[in-house]
Amino acid sequence: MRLSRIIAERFGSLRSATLGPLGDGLTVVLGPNEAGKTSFTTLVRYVLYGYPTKRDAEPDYECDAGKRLGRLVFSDGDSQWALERAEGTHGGQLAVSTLAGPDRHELLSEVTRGVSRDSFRVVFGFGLDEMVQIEAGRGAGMDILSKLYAAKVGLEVSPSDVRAGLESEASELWRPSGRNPELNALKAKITEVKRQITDLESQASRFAQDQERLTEIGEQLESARANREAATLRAQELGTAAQKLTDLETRIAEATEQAHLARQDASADDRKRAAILVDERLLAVAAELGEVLSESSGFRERLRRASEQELEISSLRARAALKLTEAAVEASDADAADLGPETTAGLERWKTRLVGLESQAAMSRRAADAAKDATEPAGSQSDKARRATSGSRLWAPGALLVALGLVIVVVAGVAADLVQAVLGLLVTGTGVALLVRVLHPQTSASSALSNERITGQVGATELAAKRDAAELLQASDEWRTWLSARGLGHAGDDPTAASLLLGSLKEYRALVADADRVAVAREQELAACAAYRAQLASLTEHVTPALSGVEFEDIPVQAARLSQDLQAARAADVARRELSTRIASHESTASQADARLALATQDRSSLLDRLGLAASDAALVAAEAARANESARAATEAFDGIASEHTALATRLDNEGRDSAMATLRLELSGLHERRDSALERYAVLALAEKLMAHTQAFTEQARQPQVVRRASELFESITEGRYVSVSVPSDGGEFIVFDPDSRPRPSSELSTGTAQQLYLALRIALIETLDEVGPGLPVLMDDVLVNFDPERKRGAAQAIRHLAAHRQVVLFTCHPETARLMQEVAPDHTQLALERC
Amino acid sequence: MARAFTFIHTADLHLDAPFAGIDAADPRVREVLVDSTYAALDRIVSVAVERGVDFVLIAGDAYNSRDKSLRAQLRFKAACERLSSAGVPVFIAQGNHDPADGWTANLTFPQSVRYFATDSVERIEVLDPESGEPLCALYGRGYATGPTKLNLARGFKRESADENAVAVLHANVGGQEGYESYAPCTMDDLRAAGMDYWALGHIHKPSELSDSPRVRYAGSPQGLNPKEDGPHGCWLVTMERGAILAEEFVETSAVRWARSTLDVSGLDSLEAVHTAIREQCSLARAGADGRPSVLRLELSGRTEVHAELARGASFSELVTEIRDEQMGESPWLWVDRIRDTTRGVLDIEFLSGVEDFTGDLVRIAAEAIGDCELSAALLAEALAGVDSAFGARDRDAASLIEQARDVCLDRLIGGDDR
Repeated sequence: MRLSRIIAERFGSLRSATLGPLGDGLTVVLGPNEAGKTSFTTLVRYVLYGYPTKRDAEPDYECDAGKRLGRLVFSDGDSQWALERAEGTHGGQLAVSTLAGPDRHELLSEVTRGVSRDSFRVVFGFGLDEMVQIEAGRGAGMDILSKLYAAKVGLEVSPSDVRAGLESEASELWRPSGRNPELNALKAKITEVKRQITDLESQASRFAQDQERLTEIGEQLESARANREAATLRAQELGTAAQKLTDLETRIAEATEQAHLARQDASADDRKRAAILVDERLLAVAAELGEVLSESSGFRERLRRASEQELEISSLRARAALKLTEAAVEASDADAADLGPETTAGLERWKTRLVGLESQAAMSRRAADAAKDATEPAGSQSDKARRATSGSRLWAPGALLVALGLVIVVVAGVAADLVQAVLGLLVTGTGVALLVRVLHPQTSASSALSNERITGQVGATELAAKRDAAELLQASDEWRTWLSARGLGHAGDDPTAASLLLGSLKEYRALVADADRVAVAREQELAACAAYRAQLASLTEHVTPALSGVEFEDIPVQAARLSQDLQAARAADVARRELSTRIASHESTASQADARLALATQDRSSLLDRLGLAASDAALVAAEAARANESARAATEAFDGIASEHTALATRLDNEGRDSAMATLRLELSGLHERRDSALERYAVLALAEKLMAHTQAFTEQARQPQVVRRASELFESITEGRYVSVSVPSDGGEFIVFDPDSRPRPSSELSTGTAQQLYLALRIALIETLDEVGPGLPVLMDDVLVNFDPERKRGAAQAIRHLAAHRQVVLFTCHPETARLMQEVAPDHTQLALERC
Repeated sequence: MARAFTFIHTADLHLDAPFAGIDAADPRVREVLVDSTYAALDRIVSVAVERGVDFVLIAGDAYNSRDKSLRAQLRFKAACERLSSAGVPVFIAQGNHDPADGWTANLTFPQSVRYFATDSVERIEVLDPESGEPLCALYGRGYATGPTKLNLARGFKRESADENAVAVLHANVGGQEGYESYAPCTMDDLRAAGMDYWALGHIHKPSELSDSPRVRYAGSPQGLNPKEDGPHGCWLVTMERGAILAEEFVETSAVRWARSTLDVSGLDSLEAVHTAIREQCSLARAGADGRPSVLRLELSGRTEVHAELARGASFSELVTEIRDEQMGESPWLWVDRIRDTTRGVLDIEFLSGVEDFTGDLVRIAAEAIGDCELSAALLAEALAGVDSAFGARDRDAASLIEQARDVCLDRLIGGDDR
């Protein structure tokens, strides 16, 4: 398979250009400057490997006419395919099209197999700029020789890349310097953890020493505690004693003063007491007298009441006399008359009886008269009229009796008088009987039909009337007898008058009784007054005038005077008693003060003796207490300091004992060691792998790559016409070395530009000759690479190129006609194309 | 005639042991590990009190180092005080880690705590606190200044009048591998002493060397590193007239250690590896008897996942994810380390016959592996710098070169997408 045409569209100066058909072997393209030779070379790389991005250090060959496009037409026999790539994202999309023959979708990978973009640029499509890259690129990860060799032997990656990867990984694990590699970091961490462990170990080793120190401090602490307590106790004792002494001395002074003052007060009060005058006699009966005097108001009240009673008696007696006068009864008669309840009841009975009898007699009389009238003949009308008249005459007494009877009943009910009530009922019954007769006259009238019967009745009624009158008369006699028997004979026959007299006599009697009763009460009041006076007089026999002879009316004045005297006596007595009490109190206070004084004085002496400061006083003891306090404070400070140190040390030791930091650190160290060992193991494998690779590479260079180098040496010797006879390519990436016939080495950096380019060309040709199936479809595009060669060496190079073209398609671009001619001479059968300046 | 009595036999408490080689990045794990030796001690004390034992024997290495940490001494003192309060005396024969001349904080221990002499075998008669009658004769000898190569067992000789005789010693009986040969002795030496019970210390794995006489290693009551996996505790022994009436191993560890190797051959994805590791964790948790556990895992075998595992980032993410998962469960399980010893599926033999770079690499590696000087020179060339910084260390040159070779091949053939 070979590249037959290169077609450029809008690629730099190549607006639309086709280069081809290219020959199977060597094609020499002659064109002036700016004809697009380099553009075609570059275009091939871009189509095969994509258009470069802005970051790639590649010429862009942009065209303002539109997107760049390149097409490479490959042919194999009669078949043709095109690889076309227009610029776009990610290097542009590649399209594979079949122009003739079967499809070959994998055309690109088939063509470029094993050849990277850099390898192509350095080895297959190069100009003067790329010539040196075959050597210079080795240190920058572009060991093209190695890469191509790896590709040649079927390796997925070049040994150099593998070595670089191994070195890189190993350096991530460890580097002689730096902190980031894993092992470096682990080592630092291990050192740090070890330091911490050492610190802790030193802490632990101090433990016993510290514990001894703790014991020592503990003993000091106990001693300090004892000192502190003794000093504090002494200070407290002295302080208390000082305070107590002060108190005692105060108490002594106070007691002395108090005794003195009490005695002064007692004398004064005694004098006051002696000056007080008291009525002892009055005071002797003060209690009884006070009690009696307290009743003086009662006396006055009695006296007033007696006076009022006297007036009342006079009034009552006057009214009684008036009653007698009104009743026209002598007092003796009045006093003798029986005014008892039987008399009153009897009087009422008599009144009723007499009224009844009178009514009976009257009714009998009228009945007799009526009967008599009824015996007289008369027409029915006139009988009726008489009956009517007779009826009408009965109506009035009947109604009167009924009314009277009812009144009696009512009065009896009110007075609860049974006799009167019976009498009332009788009267009422009589009235009712009369009324019945009035209401039923026809019955009588009808009975009157019989004259005999009427006559009989007239006689009967007349008889009854007489009997009733006699009965009334007899009753009247009995009534007067009854009245006389009760001393009421002068009351006459009228029961009502008798009742009135009875009432008057009763009132008289009541008035007299009231007057007697009041008189008795008055006498009692006067007796009480007399008793009061006598009592008062008996208690104040010494008082002048003697009260026993004083009128009742003067007693209140005397009592008031006595009361004042008694009050004064009592007040004087109270004052005297109070003074006595005060005097006693003063004397007691003085005695107590004396006792306190003695006690305080004794206590003070005892206290001073106990303190061993017999000759001291409170001030001296206070000063001593202040000094003791200072000592106690100092002892306390010393104790606190020691206690603080003891606590801190004990706490630290306790914490150290509990702390698991050491164990944790050891475990962490263990983990670090484990990770370190693991990393070291991985590093060892990687480092060893890298060395193995290096050895293999060296071996390969000696045993296998010399095939390339030997061929390069032959070519270089040929090109330089024997000036140099061999080439060396160090496997460690070092500088190429050439040797002259005397085996004198000369590094490439000391070669002239032309000679160095000849060396690089020789190496490329030798390498490409060995590549066989690496990049099988790739042509070798040389862009005026012979320009710096002198004619002799250029010819040698042309020969080498011709030889290469026998193995692989070669396109040699040149702007020098003499080069084209030289190639024509060396390889007359090559294809020659011409380019015009764009 | 002495009554039956019960005692606890423990040893190698290694209080405050630093747990070397553990990467306890999680604070929960750190907290439990830091306290685990003390927790085991507390458990022993609790068992002693609850079971009403007559005494406790400690056959050396109560502390982890001769310069005992202060914390360890205080905690040990507290435990002894607790035992003393319960009327349980403690008899200690010091070991190589806590010899008699080590640093002490001058703490005052209860009088019921007795250390055996270090210059000769000491006989201590334990009396019945109630009857005052002899209960048991204890014979012991501690280390005076540190590790000793003397055969201390030969100094033990039972007195004929002893009804019960128990010996306490910190020693390597029979030269057990993996442990320093301190106070070396043989079973014949022990038999010759005529003891009824040998309470031994030094070997951290509980073991029963003999039933006649009864010879026991109590082991460490708390496993101290991932190698000390399985149950750890103390012996609870009941004796009467020289006969063992009952013997019980009481587990006391606060954390269980577990180790396992997981062959991931055939697994073709990280997810499959993850699942397999998860299963491994479940197994370890199930075997921890309800305790938190720390698992150390090794992935082995040739697998297609090797290249992915070999990439630091993927592997680190896998470990982190598994740790988070397992710490989220109850009881938690801390995956201390997952060591990747897997190999790729490269056909090294085939490659060694290929005439190209990979073939050259394989051959050069093989040559180095086969030549000690060459491999040493290669290691020195590669690691001189790091060794100068971290100190030279013992390395398996062949294994390292193989790993390095595989790394190279993985990247050359599998591509380096780093």
